[in-house]
Amino acid sequence: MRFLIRHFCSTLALLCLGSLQPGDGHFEAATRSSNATLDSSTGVQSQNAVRRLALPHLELNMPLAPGRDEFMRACITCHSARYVTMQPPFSRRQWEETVRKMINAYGAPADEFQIGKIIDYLDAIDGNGARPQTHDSSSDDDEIGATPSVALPEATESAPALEVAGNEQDREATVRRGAVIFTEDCAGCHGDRGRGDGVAAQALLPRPADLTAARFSSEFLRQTLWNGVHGAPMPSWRSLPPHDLRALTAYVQSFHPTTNSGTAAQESLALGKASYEKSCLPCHGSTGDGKGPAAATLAPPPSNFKRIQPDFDYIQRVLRDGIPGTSMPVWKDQLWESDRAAVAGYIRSLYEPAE
Amino acid sequence: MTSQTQLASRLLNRRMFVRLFGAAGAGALISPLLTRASPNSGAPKEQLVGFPEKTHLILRTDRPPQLETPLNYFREDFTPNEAFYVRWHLEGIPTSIDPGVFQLQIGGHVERPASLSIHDLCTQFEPFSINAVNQCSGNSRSFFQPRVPGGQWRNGAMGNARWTGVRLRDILDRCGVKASAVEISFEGLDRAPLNATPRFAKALGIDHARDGEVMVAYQMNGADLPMLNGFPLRLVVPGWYATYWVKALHEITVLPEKFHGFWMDKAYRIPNTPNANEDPEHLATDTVPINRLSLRSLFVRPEPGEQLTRGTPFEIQGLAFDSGYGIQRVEVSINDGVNWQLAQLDPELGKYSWRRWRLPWLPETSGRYRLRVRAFNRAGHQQTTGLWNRSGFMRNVIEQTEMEVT
Repeated sequence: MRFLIRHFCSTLALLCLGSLQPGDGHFEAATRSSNATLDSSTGVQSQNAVRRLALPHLELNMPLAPGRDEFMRACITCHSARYVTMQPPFSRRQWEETVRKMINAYGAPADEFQIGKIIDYLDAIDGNGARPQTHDSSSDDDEIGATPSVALPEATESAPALEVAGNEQDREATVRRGAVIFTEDCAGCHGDRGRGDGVAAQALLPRPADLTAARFSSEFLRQTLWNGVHGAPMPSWRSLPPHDLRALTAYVQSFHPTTNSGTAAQESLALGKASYEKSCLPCHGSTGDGKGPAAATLAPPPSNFKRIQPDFDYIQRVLRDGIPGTSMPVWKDQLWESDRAAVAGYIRSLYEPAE
Repeated sequence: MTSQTQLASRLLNRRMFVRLFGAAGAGALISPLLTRASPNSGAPKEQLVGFPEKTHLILRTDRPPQLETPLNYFREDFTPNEAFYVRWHLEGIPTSIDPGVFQLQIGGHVERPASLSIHDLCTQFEPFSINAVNQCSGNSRSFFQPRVPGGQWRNGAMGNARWTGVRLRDILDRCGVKASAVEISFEGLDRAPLNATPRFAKALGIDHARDGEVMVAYQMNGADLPMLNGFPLRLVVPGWYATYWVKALHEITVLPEKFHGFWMDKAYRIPNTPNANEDPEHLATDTVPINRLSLRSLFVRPEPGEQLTRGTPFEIQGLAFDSGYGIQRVEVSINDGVNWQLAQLDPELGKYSWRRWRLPWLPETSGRYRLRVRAFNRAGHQQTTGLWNRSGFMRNVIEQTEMEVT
């Protein structure tokens, strides 16, 4: 009997020991320190600090095939292309079920006429057995990194004309309507105030545009909403009715005061032009229309400064830091600060809204 | 129409077979039996990736992240936090949290709605710990035949941890749940970029929520939760699939009626049939929300491709778990199911933890072996030989693995 009791006790002890893995002492210490750090009175600052998660960007280089544009625009706003490339081969019917589920259940921004093209693409990259290029298994960090998007010749379709609201009252109503749509469809990436800081912003590369940092012409917004941004997670919104597209355009323009904050002196403009032609022209073009000799292969495409007028400070920031996830490089080692300022002034002078 | 579908499905199966095993793979098979997916054999090279606070995990998707735990980490009873798998649904996952400001909101059908800081939870409630397996509903989905869409996990969308925090019952008691409460819904901080995408919210029945085991965890294996596993708070629903274990838990709402939301009414549903099984050609029309974990047993060693030497003792080893009834026995076959041997069981680490099993073995003849493992629990449940459903949930087919003795 005594043996049984002793046996029971030692078994119990073993069980307890087991259940307190990974080591009760270790565990209690961790609990204490955690509780302590959560109490500001202890003065332990380091662990009470804001916790941040810097997400890596590992976008895939998706193969060229018909329907790629439609796929990229409808799908990769919410998830990376790996959601597709990890799937086994499916029939067109199965892909259609999935695409329709994405649209009906999750609100993917695609309309009926795009569905077939998206399925074409999903089918094509499976049917060929041609998986998108990706780095093979490796423990080497350098092997895994963001691959630049493949550039495609862009067959831009024209957006429908969006009539401008007549009187002031109509215009205000239009802007209000735009605010509602913006909150529903845009704020997740661009943020409530259009600053490019929505909930999904940290996950995306290139980052969603800061819509407060530039003036966007109606023409630019119209085309962008209609076609999306090639090589970026900005989808096409052509499934929205034209009056909603117009409202969005008006609302986005309301982020930015229309008054021009002065023009640069002629002298400075000449200096800026010289630097621009040396450094910026190959991509952004001699007139600033974003169609320089090197532009055709770039995605996202170089900015068209005739349709976008970025703020002075914003241009300087971009020249200093580049735009991660795009082909826009860092210029701070090539252009002095004074040159960068002159270039910024010159770029702003190129704005010619066609309206 | 039906014959067309069947033809398509047959063609598809052929395509999939070729894709899965290839010509070389087919030649290496020891018998044609392996047209059924064999979870632990022929493992493809996986891409490993390092995310913040995480060791190198298998990359399933990058945005939002789905990262799988490599098999070798299951040699430990408690899965290290840095190796614990990751699965988010919505792209806008929390990337910045100030634990000094964060508040857990409890409201709805209660007498006293509350807003609790992490500090409140740590200091004003009795700490509670439980060891429990957290397993994704779709763990092992890639082994379903015919294949189904979704995260193509192998067996690593699971982990075992010691969860520490506060009993949900204690929190609810503080708020005074009204007598007519029916369900409780849970929401995290994750958001979709599009407003049209339903917010991620799950619900539990009031009795389940107050069973004294469902808890709000602020620690995992004695440390803060990694951001990717739900820092600062995670709902822990022992014995239930991980879809209920809401990460970055932020809002608890007591409801006087049944909760209705996409993630309960449309997603994460299983056929209302024994073992959630259905026929690909005749999908079940009656479905219910996924709930308790199925009984499973898995191989940890040998790993796929592991080579053994004749005459050298080897310990075949693995894990078994269920939804809390407890593992009664585990049987292993080293000759493809002809004979079964009783495995040794390690001590229990709690009814919701997994339990390690071991079988010492001295390989006497060289050649290829196909191993199988099956578990039995105290409720008399057994594992199945075949399971399929459209979502690839709850896989608990008797596992097999192959190894070579030289």
